[in-house]
Amino acid sequence: MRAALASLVLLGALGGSSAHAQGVAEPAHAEGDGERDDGASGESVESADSAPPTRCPRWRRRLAPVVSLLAGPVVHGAGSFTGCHRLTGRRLGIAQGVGFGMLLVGGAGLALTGASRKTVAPFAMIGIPGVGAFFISWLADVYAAITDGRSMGRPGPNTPYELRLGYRYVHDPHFDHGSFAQAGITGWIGQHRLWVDTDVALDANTQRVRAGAARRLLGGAGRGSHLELVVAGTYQRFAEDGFRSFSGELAIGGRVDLADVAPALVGSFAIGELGLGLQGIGYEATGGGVGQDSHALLLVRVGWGVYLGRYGELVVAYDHRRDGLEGGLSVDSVGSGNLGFLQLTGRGWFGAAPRWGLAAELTAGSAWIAGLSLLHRAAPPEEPR
Amino acid sequence: MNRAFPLLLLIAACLRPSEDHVALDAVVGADSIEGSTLTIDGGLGAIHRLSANEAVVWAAAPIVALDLDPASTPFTLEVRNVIADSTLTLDGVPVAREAGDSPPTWGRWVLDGPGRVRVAPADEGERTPYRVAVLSDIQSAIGEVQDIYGRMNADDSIRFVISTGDLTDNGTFEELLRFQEEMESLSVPLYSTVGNHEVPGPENWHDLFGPFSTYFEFRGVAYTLVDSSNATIDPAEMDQLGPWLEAHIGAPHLFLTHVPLFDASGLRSGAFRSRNEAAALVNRLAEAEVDALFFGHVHSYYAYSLGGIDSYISGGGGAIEEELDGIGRHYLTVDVDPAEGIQSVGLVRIE
Repeated sequence: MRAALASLVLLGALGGSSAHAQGVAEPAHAEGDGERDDGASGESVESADSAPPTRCPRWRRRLAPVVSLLAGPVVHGAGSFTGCHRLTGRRLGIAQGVGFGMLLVGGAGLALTGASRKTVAPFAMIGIPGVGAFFISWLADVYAAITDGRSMGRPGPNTPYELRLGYRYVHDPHFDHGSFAQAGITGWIGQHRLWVDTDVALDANTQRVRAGAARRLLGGAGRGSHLELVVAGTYQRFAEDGFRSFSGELAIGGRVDLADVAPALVGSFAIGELGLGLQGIGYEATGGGVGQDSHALLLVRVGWGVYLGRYGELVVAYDHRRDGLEGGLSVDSVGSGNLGFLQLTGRGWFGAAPRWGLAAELTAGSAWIAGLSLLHRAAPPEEPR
Repeated sequence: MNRAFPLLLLIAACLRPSEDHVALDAVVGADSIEGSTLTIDGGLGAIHRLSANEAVVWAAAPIVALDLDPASTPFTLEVRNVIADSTLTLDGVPVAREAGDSPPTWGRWVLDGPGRVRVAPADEGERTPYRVAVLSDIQSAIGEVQDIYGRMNADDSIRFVISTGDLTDNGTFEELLRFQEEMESLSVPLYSTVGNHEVPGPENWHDLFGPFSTYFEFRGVAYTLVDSSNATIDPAEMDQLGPWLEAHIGAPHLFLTHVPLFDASGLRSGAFRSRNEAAALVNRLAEAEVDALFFGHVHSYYAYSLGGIDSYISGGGGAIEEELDGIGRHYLTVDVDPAEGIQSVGLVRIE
């Protein structure tokens, strides 16, 4: 676990150096990002470049992170306001309200219907993203207050292919497996993304293969804001525990580059995915195939991240699914059994060898997972200057 | 919101959230106070009171055996939550039951010395069909549970009630005590594992109801009531479950746990926190030829199949109902035949 933490720190360093090497977006200046204290406001980072800087007292900028941590949890955007990013603060406040409203609608719907089988999916699909919007707006406020509109990176294009080879340690008290070899490949063909990921236990007879395809519906093929349709399948084999499973899923997912939402959020983004799936399970005891039992899957994933350079990123996410190695969180309270897992992932590329990089993850569900992978990619496409 | 950080840390730390339940089960049903020592076999009960010349025990199974070494005699032993016609033997010798106006499921005996005590109903040796009821998820409807008990009392064929838990809202001592007081009108005992609503006060359950997980046999039928209150079964509990399952292969076997291994509605997934853990357990239960699985947690009624095992979700004790399902408050009757297994599972609607 310490190694993985160190890896994430290293990734930050990698991303930082890469950012410098590749030219990070200059600060969407707190005083001059178009959302000045005098009330004038702009809508984009670009407009900031031409806007005359407006002075924000140093003490306010220094106070902003503190406010974002102390008052920000209650009033999202308080840190941004303090740091003179009024537009950002206002929009984060709106996002908090929207998130809270969605949480209320989803939560009330679930409560009033007793989590009826007939209505649970739509209410959960409103409520969980609502929780996500609520927390993301707070994280984004902390980010804006700390960075003061200076990004650590910006979204670059995706490369034609990317290979991954790594190690995952999975600590699950219910299973003998622990060490996994991980390999994967992602390729881009036009607006289509194809990928395969495998996990093979080194100390048990457990394997997992996940493959999928996604088509961009909006946003081109870059790493900025986009919307895509995702089709994926996962096969798991737990030979020592006597079962196999296969799940198929269909989802709509995407990313919002938060610079498109508020100037001081440049360099950060939000992710989300909504979908449905069906998992089939077969048991050795009965000799059934993976279609013996079937269970529907509700797919909801929300997260927030920051770009590290043009190709790296750090993401914290909540995933509602509980059908993988990660399982779901327990809270030792009446809420047990209804949560998915939390995940922190990061990736970055070496400045000196830009086709090579590292990816790391920390996951907390019913298992703890720490992983580190070596990345290799095609040469990044040249970008117009 | 500042509390979010420790909460997140707590969440991340919960790989074995029921570990403390297993630790409490290891010491349940044994005590030594004022010179008297009492040890219940298998921890199948809670010791409510123990003194030099008196003990009150809450039984967690139809047959309770214990070792008693009183500080003084005569020693009065009261065993609550027993089948009404239960008798007591001390070192194999029957002891007359004290007369009184206590509830039918309370038995009181005056013992004249130390020894091996066994409390069991008269029909324990029979291998004929009988009926049990399954009732779970009463929670805040504790004030309305009497009409359910009334229906059960009217059915003479029910030998006892089994429950997957959520008897109360928050598992406080007062709530659990209230539940036991309400049970005084029920003419048969009720044996239960814990639900997630009992999780906030595990020591209260330990003190008043005894074990979180219970394994017992009655008239040739095996009963497994396992703690899944945290949407998982602790690995240490699984170590105890394994030999029990293997020992009862071929015998009729009812498996009860609060949280469904898999929810009949996968989109809701009010189920185990890990589908892989659930699948591994389903395979073990199928290998052990368990006859039926009973769950609560979801406040409706479902009959479905897991790994070829007949499975039922029944959370009809009165907790907030699942709407749009046409089910409402209910309990189940299960007719078991030691020779043939489960004969039928019936849904008894209260409203």
